[in-house]
Amino acid sequence: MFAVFKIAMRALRRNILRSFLTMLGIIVGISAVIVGVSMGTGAKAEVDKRIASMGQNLLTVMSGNMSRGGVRGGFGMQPNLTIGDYEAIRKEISGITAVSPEARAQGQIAAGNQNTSIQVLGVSAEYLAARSWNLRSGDNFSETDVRNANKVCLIGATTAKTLFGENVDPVGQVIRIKGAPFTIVGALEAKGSGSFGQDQDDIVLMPYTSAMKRLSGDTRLRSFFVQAATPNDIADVQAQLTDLLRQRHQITEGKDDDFMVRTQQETSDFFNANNRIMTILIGFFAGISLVVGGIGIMNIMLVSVTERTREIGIRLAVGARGRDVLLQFLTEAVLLSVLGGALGIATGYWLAPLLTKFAEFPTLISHTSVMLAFTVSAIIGIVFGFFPALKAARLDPIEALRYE
Amino acid sequence: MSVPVIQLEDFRKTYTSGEVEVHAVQGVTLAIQAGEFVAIMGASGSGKSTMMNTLGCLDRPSSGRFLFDGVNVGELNRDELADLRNRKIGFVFQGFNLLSRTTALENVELPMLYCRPGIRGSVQRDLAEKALALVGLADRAEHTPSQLSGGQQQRVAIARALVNQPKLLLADEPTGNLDSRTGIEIMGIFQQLNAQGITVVMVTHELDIARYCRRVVVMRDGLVRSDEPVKERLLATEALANLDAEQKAVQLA
Repeated sequence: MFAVFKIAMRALRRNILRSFLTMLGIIVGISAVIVGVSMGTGAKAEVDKRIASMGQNLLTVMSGNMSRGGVRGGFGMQPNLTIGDYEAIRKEISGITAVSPEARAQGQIAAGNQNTSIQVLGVSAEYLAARSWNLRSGDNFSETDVRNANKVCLIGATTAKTLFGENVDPVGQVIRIKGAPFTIVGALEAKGSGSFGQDQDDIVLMPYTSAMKRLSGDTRLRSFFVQAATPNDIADVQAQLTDLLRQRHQITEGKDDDFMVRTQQETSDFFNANNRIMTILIGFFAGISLVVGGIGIMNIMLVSVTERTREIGIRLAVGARGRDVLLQFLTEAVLLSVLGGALGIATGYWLAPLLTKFAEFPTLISHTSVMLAFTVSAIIGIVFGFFPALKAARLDPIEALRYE
Repeated sequence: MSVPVIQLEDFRKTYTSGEVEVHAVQGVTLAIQAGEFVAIMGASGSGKSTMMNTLGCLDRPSSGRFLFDGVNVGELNRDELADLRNRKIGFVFQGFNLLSRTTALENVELPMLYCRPGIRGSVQRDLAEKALALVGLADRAEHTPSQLSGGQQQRVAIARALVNQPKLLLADEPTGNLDSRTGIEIMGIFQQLNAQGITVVMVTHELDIARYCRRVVVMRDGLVRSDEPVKERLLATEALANLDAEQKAVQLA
């Protein structure tokens, strides 16, 4: 077996440029597979990471229903979740550790002569714990603050920096949001670059009551944030939430929900669906280039068999069986494709980080994809090398010896 | 008497090229005993190449029987033919048929690659070196064919033919591509091997060369026309000595 390998290696070295060009098809194909799959897994890992960073065991209740009939009842419609819904969830759902509305308001914020326009999020006092957000200084607002819709707020690191500059503790300062004064009771720790692009630290949190009454004037909510106690409770909580809200919204049997309860898993699936399509597309094109590469190998092997007809004749004359010749040429083809595969994998390892660096696309090379690529390249060698090898093995020794 | 190495009984070979049937050999009965040194002669188209291919077990008879060392070759399949060639026949060709860009030693090792059961690499190397030494090329083992003269290449081919200790050494116009002196040298090697008991059968169209053999079979139109021992057999050693003497005389003159 080693002798066969040696002979094949020598045959390939004899035409080193030709061997390399033949491998090129496989190299391109395999590196495309590696990079493509690494983009898919990279994007998925990124999504998963961001979704996990939102907190643990979270469920989101959204008004409208995007999952059925496209965007029907989605963003265009009036929000239909109420404070009553929130309080009912708080009281009646078991197995949850935190629940909070998310009342969003956009507004101009000013402190001294600095001002900025950012997202104001009205939440309950449980929100910080649910999202595992920590305070750098000061305290969270209290249940009393929520009940009384007090003008207090928590400030994100970026916002604090914009308004007060670095190294200044903003706690105790007063900011004006849409003209109304709010006292900063706590400063949030920096969380770094945020979920889905936006800066998570450019934010102001306040009791949802304050946000609704004093800023937006809304009476309805777009979403709730619910934290299940353990991962095992998630499914049950989801079912409870659905039942409760259907009841409260008086949705009769057979009618579609006018809200959506999504687990983190479902959210990540939603975003990963696109990634999967992208991965499949890239894989498809990489697959085509692998087939083309395989045909290239077959072509060169056919040429090689013709060129070496006399050699085959000699080998047959001195006692090589058909299968010896078959094995020899098959080994060459497999060696070509496997070497091409190895080079393709190396190229992939080299390209993927470049892609991350210059195109800022997250990539992650999985061992599975490397193994798969390697196996595929070996299979290509066997499949596309078989016909030429068979042709060689079936040569008539007399004809082959006479071949000029 | 022992089993003949080669026994042909009414051997016929017919090729169909297009719609024309070519009767290359039309009934040859012939026996070659172990230790013989036979030349098969004939003009082109006489059927001697077909004889050669059949005796070399590269091809099977269309009809008639061919027994090689007692084995009916007509009943063997492709793999069995290959094994037979591997173990019992050594080929020497007109065009040497060495693998280019492969050293003399590796060329000689070639038949051993296909031995069943396999032979260990180190043993292969030893045997190949011995075979090369036998044809006087021990010092050229690492040379490739392009670095060797025609005579040396043919000697590598002979070493390759001998390495599996075959029953039969089969040579197809072994001197055809060589100058007359080198041709005689090659015949000298054959005579030497034959003297050691190896059966040699060669195809040639040169009468001079045939006279180094012991028996000459002449073919014409696919039939054996004559089959007789060589009278006044030439000895390569003497012929070479004569050549040297002549050359010396020319230089002196």
